[in-house]
Amino acid sequence: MNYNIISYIIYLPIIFFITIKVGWMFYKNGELFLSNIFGSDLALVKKVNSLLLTGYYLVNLGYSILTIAYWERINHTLELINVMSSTLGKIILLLALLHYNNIFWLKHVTKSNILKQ
Amino acid sequence: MENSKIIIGYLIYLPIVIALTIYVSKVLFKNGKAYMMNIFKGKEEITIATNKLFEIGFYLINIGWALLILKISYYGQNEMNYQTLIEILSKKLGGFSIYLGVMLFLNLLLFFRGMNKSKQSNKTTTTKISLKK
Repeated sequence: MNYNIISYIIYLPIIFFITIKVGWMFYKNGELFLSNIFGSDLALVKKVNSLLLTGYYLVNLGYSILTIAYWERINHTLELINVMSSTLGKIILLLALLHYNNIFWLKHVTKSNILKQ
Repeated sequence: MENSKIIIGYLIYLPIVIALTIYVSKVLFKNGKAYMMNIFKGKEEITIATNKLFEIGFYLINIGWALLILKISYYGQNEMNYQTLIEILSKKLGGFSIYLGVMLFLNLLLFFRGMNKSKQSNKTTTTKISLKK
């Protein structure tokens, strides 16, 4: 077993855990905002929310699996830590970027609704 | 071995950075709730949801950045000694603290802007109501 396989075994659970946990938090806290947009149509809100969650999982888990194809060659423990931290950091920053993008758009869509109540 | 010293450096760097991020975000969002209450005029549910969303964003962006700048590269001729390790670590930790401070102020700026906006909308609604009367 070489270092690359060890790093995949450590990397995949971490990134899956982070992505799924964060997506679940968005799912729970975002419902309120969606219900603000769609009014009182609760069934529609639930459906849109679960569609959004599915899309989020597909994009992020897909991307995190895709990065394995472009993994650098690892020769010792130090490189393992370096490569893994930089990859994890990049993906987490990407998540943060997508998240702030979402908040920005939500703010634009819901601002008129919330503040004028 | 120089490699083992770099790993010692990582072992010192990671806990400090993660603890710092958690502490700062706890403080920021415990106090941020009051601002959010003010912005959303005391609506509890949406306050908690917005606060949580911002908190997740804060964690993601800071821990992601901390992991991204983790790598210690050392190209010296001699073996790495503890002095260089401490100097490199101080540079990294200090830089990260300054970055965290900037992020904190950016978030505060967001809160203040939200408060101003909600005050303005309050004024416009009250003037509209008074005009209607």
